[in-house]
Amino acid sequence: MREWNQLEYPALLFCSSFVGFVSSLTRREIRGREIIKQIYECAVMSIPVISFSLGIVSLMSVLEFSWHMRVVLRQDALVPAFSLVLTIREVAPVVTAMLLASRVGASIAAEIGVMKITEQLDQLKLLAVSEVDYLLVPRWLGCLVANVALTLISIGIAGVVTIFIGARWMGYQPGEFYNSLLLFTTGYDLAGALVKSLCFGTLIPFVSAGYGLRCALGSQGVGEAATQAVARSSLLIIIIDLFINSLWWMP
Amino acid sequence: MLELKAISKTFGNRAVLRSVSLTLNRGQICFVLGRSGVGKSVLLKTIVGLIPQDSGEVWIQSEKTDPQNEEQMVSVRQKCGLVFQMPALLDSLTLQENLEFGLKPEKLARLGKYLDWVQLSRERLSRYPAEVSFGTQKKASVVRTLLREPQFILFDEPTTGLDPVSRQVTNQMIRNVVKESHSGCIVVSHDVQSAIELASTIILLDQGQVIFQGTPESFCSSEQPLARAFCNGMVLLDH
Amino acid sequence: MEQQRKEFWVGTLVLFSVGLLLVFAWLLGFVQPLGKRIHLSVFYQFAGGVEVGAPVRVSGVKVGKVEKIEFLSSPASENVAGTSVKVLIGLDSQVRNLIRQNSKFYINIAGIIGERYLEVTPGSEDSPVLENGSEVRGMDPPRVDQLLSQGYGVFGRVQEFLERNENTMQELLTSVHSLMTDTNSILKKLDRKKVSQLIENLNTVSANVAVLSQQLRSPKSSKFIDQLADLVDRAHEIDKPALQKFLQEEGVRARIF
Repeated sequence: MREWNQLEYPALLFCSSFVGFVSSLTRREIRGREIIKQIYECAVMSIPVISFSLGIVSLMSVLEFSWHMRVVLRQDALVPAFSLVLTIREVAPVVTAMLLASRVGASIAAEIGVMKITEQLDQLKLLAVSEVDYLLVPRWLGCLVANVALTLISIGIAGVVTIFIGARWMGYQPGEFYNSLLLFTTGYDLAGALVKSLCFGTLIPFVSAGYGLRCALGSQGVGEAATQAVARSSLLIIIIDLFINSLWWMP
Repeated sequence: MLELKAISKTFGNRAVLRSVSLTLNRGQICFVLGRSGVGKSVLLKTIVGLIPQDSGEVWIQSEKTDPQNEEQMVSVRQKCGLVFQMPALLDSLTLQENLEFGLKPEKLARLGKYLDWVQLSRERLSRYPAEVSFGTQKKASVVRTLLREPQFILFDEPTTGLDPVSRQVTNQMIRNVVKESHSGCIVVSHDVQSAIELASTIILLDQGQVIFQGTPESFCSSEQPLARAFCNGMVLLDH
Repeated sequence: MEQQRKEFWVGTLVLFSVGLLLVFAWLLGFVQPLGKRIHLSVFYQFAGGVEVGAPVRVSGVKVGKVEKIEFLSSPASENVAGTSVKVLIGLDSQVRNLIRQNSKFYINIAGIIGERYLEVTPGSEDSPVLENGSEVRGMDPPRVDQLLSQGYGVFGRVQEFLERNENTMQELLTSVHSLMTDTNSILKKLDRKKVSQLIENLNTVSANVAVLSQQLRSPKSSKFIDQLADLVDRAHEIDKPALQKFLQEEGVRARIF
């Protein structure tokens, strides 16, 4: 029962945020400043760490694939193609979302938790400002934009890194490697990656905000909320990734 | 008129409020005294619907409030401003932005006057809450409520944590509020001195119940042991 | 100021991401924003497994892709008669002057996974340049399936023959087998020493026979043979038993000789 509530509550937050966003669109009352701020916090500030991590991950995956291919096929000309498919379908959306969950999820849960224990949330009610409008919608849009943008950037970085490694360590011409790069990748894969990043970008803020809004009083409560937010978001990312994979790519 | 009728609230098995009743007219100041943890803050939060009462009724201007009805509570909260014990400023915004937050622009006209009341200088307003002192934050949170010009203002320990000068400033501010805006004030406090100076009514709460209700003069001459203890400037140890 | 800086970065990020998305879409062949493209319809009888999205190369350089493949609903026009599939290809306009009337359109296989692509050879300079939207006849790729089916025919006939003569073949095989077995056992029974001795003896015999035949060829021997023939002629008349007796005697003599 408790487990169900932990999923139900973020879902509830999502629904009210969606309604809140649509109604604020119709009323033309967009909290542009808050949204810009959240996108900045979530996306722009995460670019370095995510670029770096994705670069390293795709480097490792190319080298690993190359080893496998050499063992089995005695040549590794198709490595970039395999590696890019893996990156687009799995690595880029999931790793980006995981990093974002640990960076942004924790901060959302902690920030909202502190707002709760310092009565700022009550204050919002007194000021007749909906916490959905003020807290959730900007964070949702921020995470959404951040996750989609960073996933795309990750894919780009993975492609560039792959060609770079091919030229530097595997003795291929960049052009050769580039030709092989897009061999197995289709627009369907790219669309799948976008769907994933949209799902994860929605999941992270609402799960985290759920823990923040329900955080127990005291600094321990805030710490617990932040930990739970990261742990639960990461777990849900993996589960949802499995679901999307089985719906999107499995025959 | 603000009226509380037999408000009761229980957290778990601890009865915080037991049938508390209270009446306040505009232009009056009601001090609620009591030791820490007797449910004074809960009482204020019940009025604005942040904590729904278990039983009892809240009437504001002959209108019964319903804590479940969020739309009605929005208008209740416009009529009835609450200043928290902690400043509760939104820490992602500057003081200025905090004051303007969710406020109709025309209401900003009296900002200067309110800043003077609490003696808060305008230069401070560009800072973020974390960059200014607790006292300044508290002043700003008072101004935030004043700007909304509510008919009733509920202060939760407005002078706690302030130096004696600021305390005088706060008391003067409360007087101004009552005199100029003709608002009604409920002040929750430990500060008997201020209560005797300002209050039209003093209510003493103990164990969730009203054990004294009357004018400042009668409060000091009361036979109530807790009231006497308050008047002597000390709080009784547990019975 | 702070706000403007944030807005700038957020704007940059969003624009960059949208740009990246467009670049990906372009790389994957969804959008073709750059330059005019020329389209040609290539007609094949057999398209050899080429698919929409397959690359088109001119002189081995990728310059376009297969955009559409459709079956002909009405009979093909005269210059592309006998075809049944129309492959619409889009090409970068930079190769426009290379593709001429006598260009050839092959369907090839590349790479270790057998990716199909369309190879276009540049036409010679005296041949007119193909207009945008022209219809051309492609070179059908070798029908591997046909080769296989012809091969099947040959195999079928062999099989038929074998089936019809099954008993004979079986007997043949059995006797060959028993022959081999016998030979084998004989060879096994032979002592190596004896065999080499036998061969040695054979050598001696043949050497002797050689000497003998040489002697036979000498004038003296031929004279003797003539005399012998004369003798036989003359002996013709003699009755059989007497002749026998005589020959026996002569043989003995000859042996002594």
